[in-house]
Amino acid sequence: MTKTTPQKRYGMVIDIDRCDGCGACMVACSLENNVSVVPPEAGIHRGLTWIRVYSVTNEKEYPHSDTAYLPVSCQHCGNETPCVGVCPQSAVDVDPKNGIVSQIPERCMGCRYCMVACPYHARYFNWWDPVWPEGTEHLLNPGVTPRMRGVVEKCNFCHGRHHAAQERAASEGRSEIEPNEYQTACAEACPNGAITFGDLADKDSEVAKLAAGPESFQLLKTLGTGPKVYYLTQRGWVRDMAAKTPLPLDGQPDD
Amino acid sequence: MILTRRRTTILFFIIGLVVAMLAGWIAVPAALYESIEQPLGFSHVVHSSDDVGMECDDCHHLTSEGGFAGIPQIAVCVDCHEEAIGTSKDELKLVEEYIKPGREIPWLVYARQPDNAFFPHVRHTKLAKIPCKQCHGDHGQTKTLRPLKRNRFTGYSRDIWGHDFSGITTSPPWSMKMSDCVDCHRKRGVRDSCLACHK
Amino acid sequence: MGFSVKRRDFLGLVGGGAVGAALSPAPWKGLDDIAIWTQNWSWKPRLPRGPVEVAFTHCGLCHAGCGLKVRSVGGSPVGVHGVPGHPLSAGFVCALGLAGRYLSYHPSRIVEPTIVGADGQRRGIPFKAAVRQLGDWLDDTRSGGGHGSVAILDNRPGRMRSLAYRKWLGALDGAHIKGLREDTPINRLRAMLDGPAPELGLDIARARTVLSFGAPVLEGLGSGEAGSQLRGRSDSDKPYIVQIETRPSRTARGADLWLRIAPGTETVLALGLANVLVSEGLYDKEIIAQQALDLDGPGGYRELVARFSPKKVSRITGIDAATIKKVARRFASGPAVVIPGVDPGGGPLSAEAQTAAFSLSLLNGDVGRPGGVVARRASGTTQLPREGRLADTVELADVPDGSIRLLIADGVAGGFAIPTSLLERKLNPSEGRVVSLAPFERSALHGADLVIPSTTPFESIDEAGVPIDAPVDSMGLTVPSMRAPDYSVDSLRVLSMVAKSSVVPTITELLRGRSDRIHAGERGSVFDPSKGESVPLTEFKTNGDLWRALTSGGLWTDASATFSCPPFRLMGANAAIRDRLHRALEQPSTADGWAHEITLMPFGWRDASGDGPLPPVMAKLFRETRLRLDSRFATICPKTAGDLGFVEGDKASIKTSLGSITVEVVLDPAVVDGVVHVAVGPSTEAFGDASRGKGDQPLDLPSCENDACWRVIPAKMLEVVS
Repeated sequence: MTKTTPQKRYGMVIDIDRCDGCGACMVACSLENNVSVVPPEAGIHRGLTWIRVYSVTNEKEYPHSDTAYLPVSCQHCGNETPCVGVCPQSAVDVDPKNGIVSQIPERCMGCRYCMVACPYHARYFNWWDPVWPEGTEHLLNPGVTPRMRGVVEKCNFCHGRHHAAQERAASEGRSEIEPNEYQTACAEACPNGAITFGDLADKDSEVAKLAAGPESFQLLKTLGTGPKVYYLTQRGWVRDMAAKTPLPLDGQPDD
Repeated sequence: MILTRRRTTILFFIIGLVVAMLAGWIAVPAALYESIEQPLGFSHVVHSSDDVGMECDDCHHLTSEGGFAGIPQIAVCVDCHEEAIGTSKDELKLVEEYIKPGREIPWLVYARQPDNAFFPHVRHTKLAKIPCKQCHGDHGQTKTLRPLKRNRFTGYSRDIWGHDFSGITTSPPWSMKMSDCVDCHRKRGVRDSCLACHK
Repeated sequence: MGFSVKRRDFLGLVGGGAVGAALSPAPWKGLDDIAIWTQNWSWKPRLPRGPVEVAFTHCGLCHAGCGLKVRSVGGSPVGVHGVPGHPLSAGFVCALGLAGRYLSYHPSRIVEPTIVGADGQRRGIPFKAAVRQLGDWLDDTRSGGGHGSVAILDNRPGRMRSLAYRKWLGALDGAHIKGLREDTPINRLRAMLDGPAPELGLDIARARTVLSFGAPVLEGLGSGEAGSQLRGRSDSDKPYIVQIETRPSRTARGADLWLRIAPGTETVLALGLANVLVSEGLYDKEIIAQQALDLDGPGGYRELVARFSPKKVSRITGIDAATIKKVARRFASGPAVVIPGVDPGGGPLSAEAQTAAFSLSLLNGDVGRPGGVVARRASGTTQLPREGRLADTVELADVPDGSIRLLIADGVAGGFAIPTSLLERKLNPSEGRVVSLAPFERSALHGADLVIPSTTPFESIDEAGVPIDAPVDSMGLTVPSMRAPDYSVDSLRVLSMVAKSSVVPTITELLRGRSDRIHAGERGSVFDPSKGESVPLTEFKTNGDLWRALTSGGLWTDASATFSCPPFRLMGANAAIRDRLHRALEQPSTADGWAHEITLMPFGWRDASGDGPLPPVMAKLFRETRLRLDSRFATICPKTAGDLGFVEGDKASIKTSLGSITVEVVLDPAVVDGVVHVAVGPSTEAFGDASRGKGDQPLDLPSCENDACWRVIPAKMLEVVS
């Protein structure tokens, strides 16, 4: 008898119309994944955040002005994943069992080719040693190892939580986890329920239904990278902009 | 006997060879690892004997979330050792230094993997039914605790990198490197991505 | 025969050594170790190890009282999560709550009592000396001062702790001053009701329309304001949200309708809406006929609002007349909630604006009806027995200027900033002293003469708050998830040490007392966070059972109470108010003698407001992205920028009669022309990595001349040449 493991495709659907830009996802993510705080001189270009909330406006005056917030993390590209091929260290791989794109900091040598290759600016480089305020190291999440200076890091769909879910399932004698046992920190923290995470391969899952819906779209779809993060909006201008052009870092270039 | 030039050179070559090999095989390992005594003597044999009758999982159990609780907290010791049992030095130390002030015993862990390794005990023991001693050896049969050999440079336990300094005949329980994990996974037909075991 | 070492021999030795080394594992091991070392820098933080323990508690960082699930390793909280199904927070925690445990290690934490000496320098003193000093000052004040000369500033009035404060102050003829909070305005509504009224809550869940005057309804953070009741609900199930606000806040951008009102004209708009309701007969005629005391008659409400025609109001507020009519009609179409918001940095609306806004609730018959304003506490079961004299609770704005000789600031985080000048004005100019019992330096109190550090919310047991939008009363506890450091001390213990006449109970005694009275009341239900379900209170056999449930992170919620609207006054038939409001219609008030060039409107972030410290990770929102702007930035619209000669990125100085701040100009087309928005906090210092300095906060600028309202500040904006 052969044991067949169901093929999962973890993905996320983000409802832009529900996002109010509060940033709880960014904070929850940073705490979950022990993302360190960089020094003040880092500015917005050398910041470290696995999920970044972009704010874009339609540049119109009141009452026609409109703002949309787009949380952008690693899109976990399912097709020709751009960062995998360029890595000279094999530090990036796509898990064949669940489609999660990983980044192994211990293998990374910091060449940052992957950051150039990523069309979504979803990869971040550690320009500084990871530092937490004195006395707070014992507040770190024990499930995720901190990265060192000089390596790239990015979202891995809270893989530490996947580990925890696997452990819990195994303690009950199951080798597979149930859909409700694994949830990313951003999805859990969003106060507006804008983020839905789950298995896209499971046609009955909420995430698969939303991703297949008429309002869903992918960032820069024409590149053919097959992102597993989908977005929803009823606002045409947001869809047009986000589907075609790379998102600008909010604010002006810093020094 | 007259040493020819050539012979002298060979002699020096051999001296260099022997000294370097002695250094590489004996001196370097001796210098590289520091030997740290455990804070307290402990006999697994006594605790698991019929007189005491403790089971392994009285101390080394899994938590309700499936995590490995690892080394027991002082609260487990208090159950029996609230007052000293006998008069041995270690027993008195246990009661005076740890139990009465409520301090945890800073046990040294032989099999401590680095922070970036994720090893779910429960998947190996419960799902794959691998016995503890396959990786930990007959630790449960020890009368005394051996000192921890710690690499001065990396801080790793020698149990991780392997007691065989040559690195040739490595396999658990005397080596728990990534290659040992991979070997076992290959044998069992488990293929995983990096993140399966790294956090 | 000779023996001499030649060069060849030496090479032989080296060669032999090299081969020997290569035949030993040492070099390979060395390479391996170097690889390991480079992969795991030895100075990289080490992760906590050990079994994970799970406990439940409530967040004490603001009065929203969100339920928390805390994962701990070795007694340290390593993860904080929401509690699904929690009756107040519905499973969510804001960014601040998630990271709040880091506050205990914040650089601005006060680690020893300090006093400002005669030379003006702050220095540390032993705890006992600090208490003795406080006792001496108390004696001085009592011998020289009258009523209210001793005061406690309480950022969260209504707790058991507050009752102990009031009792302590009662013996001293002191004043219990409310700090600012979101529900400050609702007491204005209670004052409009004739006769005693219960605590009031807003039943947003069942409202058809929410009329928010600048309240951060959709911030979705904490469960303050409407947050909790709107979460997890489908769009069709949500009330229609009308946001009346000048600033393009997140709520304004996300509301169903955003009325971008001219600065400071909320009163006029509320009266304009009332005008439509009255003239079109859209108000609840039955209630008004029976209960309104001042609708008709000379100087009555009908007469007052008659002149606020939509057309006139439109000219003042900048909102077109058709929209005013549309909103009024929508408002009258069903139960509605009116929230005169308190901005965490910009403060409350003026008293008149609050009254005018709540008049709409009364007109619509929403007081006492589901989906409107409901009674939160119908019986006295949860109150302390009122033995002994209790000091009255007063609003900060109502405290006479210069009356306080000794102000003791309670350490609890309020989340709302108070201008420096406002506090200073209330103090006696010659001998006003400030004692802070806070765990952190706070900028409004950074001049405190004496500081005795207290615990942070994650370290001490206390009551979690009841959010403004909770329709029923509740009791949840902040169960400590970290050990309190030795230098911190509970505020009640400090008071008990200096109390001469009264006995001050401990916080545990107070909380246990309330728990026991709740148990005796036999009402409501108790939520068990570990199971995610509620059981009736009557299933708790003994009062000890209830106490155990509460100290395990459980939450008691009261049964809902009915309440029918008593007689009320809308605006009150006051000729002076009427004349002033009518004048406002003809000529909007602007300047207070200062040449008015631009209107400064300070604001605060709901979860990162005012002058409190922030966990370092919040820097992600302020520094590593520009998702939020901190006090270094000023937002103006492109037209204003053009008129004043600024481009994006320019440095500018904003000046008022009290001082100036230097800011960087950011352009946003959604901002009103002639207005500049600057966030109150966090300053870069708030993350713990820059030196602090007085005068870098917009809250040092307003003079707060008129009843403690500092939302709208006349100012100048000048270019800074670098």
